[in-house]
Amino acid sequence: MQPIEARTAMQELSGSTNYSREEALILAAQKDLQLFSALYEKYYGQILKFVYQRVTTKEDACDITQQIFLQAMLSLHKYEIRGFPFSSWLYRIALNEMNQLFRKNKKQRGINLEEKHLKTIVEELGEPGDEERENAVLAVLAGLQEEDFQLVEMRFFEYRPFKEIAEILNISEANAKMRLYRILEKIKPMAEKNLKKGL
Amino acid sequence: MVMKNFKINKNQQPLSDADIARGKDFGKLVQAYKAAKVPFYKSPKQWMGASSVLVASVAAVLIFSKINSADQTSRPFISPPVASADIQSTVYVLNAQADSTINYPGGSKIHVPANAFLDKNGKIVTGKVDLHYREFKKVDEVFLAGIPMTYDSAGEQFHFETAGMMEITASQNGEGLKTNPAALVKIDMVSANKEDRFNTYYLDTIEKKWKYTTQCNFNNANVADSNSAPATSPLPVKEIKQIQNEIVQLEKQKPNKPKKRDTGKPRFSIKVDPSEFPEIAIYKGVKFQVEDSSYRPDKADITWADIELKRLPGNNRYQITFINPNEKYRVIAVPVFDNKDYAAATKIYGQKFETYETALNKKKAGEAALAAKLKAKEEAPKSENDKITAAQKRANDQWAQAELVYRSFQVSDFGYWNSDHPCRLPAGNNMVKLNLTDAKTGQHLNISVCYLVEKERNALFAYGPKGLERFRFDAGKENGVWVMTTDNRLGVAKYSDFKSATTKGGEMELQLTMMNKTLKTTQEVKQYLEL
Repeated sequence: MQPIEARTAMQELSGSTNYSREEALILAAQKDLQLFSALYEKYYGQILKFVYQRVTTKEDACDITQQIFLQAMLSLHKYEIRGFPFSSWLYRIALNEMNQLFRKNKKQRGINLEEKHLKTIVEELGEPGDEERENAVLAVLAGLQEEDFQLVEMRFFEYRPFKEIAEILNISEANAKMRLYRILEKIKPMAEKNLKKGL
Repeated sequence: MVMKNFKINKNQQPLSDADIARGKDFGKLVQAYKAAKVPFYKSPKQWMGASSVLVASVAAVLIFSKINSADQTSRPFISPPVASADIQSTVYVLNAQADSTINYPGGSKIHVPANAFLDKNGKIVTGKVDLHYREFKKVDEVFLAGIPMTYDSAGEQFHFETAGMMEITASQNGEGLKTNPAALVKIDMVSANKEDRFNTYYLDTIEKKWKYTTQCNFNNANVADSNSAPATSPLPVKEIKQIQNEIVQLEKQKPNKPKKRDTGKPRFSIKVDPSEFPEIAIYKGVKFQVEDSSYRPDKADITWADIELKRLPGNNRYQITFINPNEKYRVIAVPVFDNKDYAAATKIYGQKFETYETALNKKKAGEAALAAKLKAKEEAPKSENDKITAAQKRANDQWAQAELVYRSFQVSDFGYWNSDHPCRLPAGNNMVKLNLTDAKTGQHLNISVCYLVEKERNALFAYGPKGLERFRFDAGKENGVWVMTTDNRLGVAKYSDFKSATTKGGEMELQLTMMNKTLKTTQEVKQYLEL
């Protein structure tokens, strides 16, 4: 049987009882790492999908995901409850781990692209959706800086709400929106230019 | 396709549930964790920063833990030290097809629903069933039952402090029975400890380890009153409240009947996040029809950077906000369908509504059944099981005087359960080599296990023979010792013996009173074990 929740260790820690079940579980897991298995069970699938979106093979995705949870386990004692979802913390670790791995192994970071993703962006840019234009947009996307591409990917490929994107990137929701609109404004003329070049 | 900063993988094979399940391996993660956590004395950085004295001390503790841990694995798993003095179970004969509440001496309650037992083939058991139940509230009882009190958490060994343990099993004609997941036995075990730091653990006798199951769960019921009153279980009341909440939540999920578009009203399509708006995502061809006077045709030609959709209370209405960096435009709309999509939507609605209605009816039937059960319990005459003999009452006098709570267990498997707190070995500064001798003969004792017992702490700290070479205790506490020798004899050093033991050159000489073999019964051995 997998543990589904942990005792509320909060009173020992702060005297407060205003913790959600998950927060109580995190607090308990900080004291007893065996309880981390419940968090692992809950978030493994989400994080694996997140990683697989960014790598080429399922094997790589599984290896990196284990590495992410290992890092989470090693850093769990530093985790502070501040009202954000635990998943955001895991996603942040995932982004850091992947950046480090890509840098260390000099590997190109992957993009798991479905046709509907490109269509969504082209629609978002307010352009007619034909194959030529989609290719032109793709060429621009592939040249974006990692931090810009992350925003596009999370919003249009993974359909994440701004609130969650903001939590993952540790920025404000308004900032996430503003940055994304600026990126879109940047993509539009560049795609237009590519289209003219016949890319 | 390789381009600039990223490698594009088009239409990559998606991850299946099987892929996810295949990759998941918590055991492997724990192994990696252990390997990654470099011990202090092996880290060059730590060596440079710490004084040699501190490093020596930490290294000693780590080495000690390893030695002690190895000792424990060689002991038998469940081994009562004196077979005749093992804690005996009480056997209750129950009708397997009826609800029963058993009042165990001391105040614990065992709630057995109808059809709670399965045979070895997984079939529901009918007829009479023997339910075996025993409790271990104090460490001498745990010791006499030979129950292991160590807990492994991510490779680190802890020792249990207990707020109460119990064993529950069931049999029919001598054949062991299993629990029925659809009708679990619930136990409200009386505990004299009101602290909330105790979790619930189940002893997995196959993997030979305690497993965490749930958090601390107790209430301050008046146990003394419940001993004399007929069983009026609080369980159905809680369950009724829970099911009523579930009904309220379910009613919120009632699917909305598809609506045909009104020809005179403007409408538009937007993409919605299926996870946020599943009630819309189930349909194809949903349009949003503007219902208020806020519609402005000029806004229809603008390209909007973002759209926010918000569900409004009441009749299937939504607030839709169109956003550009410098402008926001808001309308109230309802989902509608064009004629071509309406029939398909109606079909989907029919299916969803049927599922919803079935679930709702099931919950309502459950609520009615629980209400009837509660009424029956309140009106039922006092059963045989509620009668507590005078002898049993006397045996529980000390518990009756204490301020007691109920700790609750959902028995998903028959066996040993506890409400315990994992703790480390005593953290005092005293570490000695402990030499144990027979007080009568002066002979050195070879032990298989030595338990350190601190007064006012319901915990057993286990040391193996090698662990005695680095025996830690808190000199600020009153300490006693129980040992089991390799030739199966019991020895005791009372608090006063431990206090007066001599320590010279880092070695403590402790004399033990060995148990007279004429002591046989639980009561006799318990008396001997008194510290």
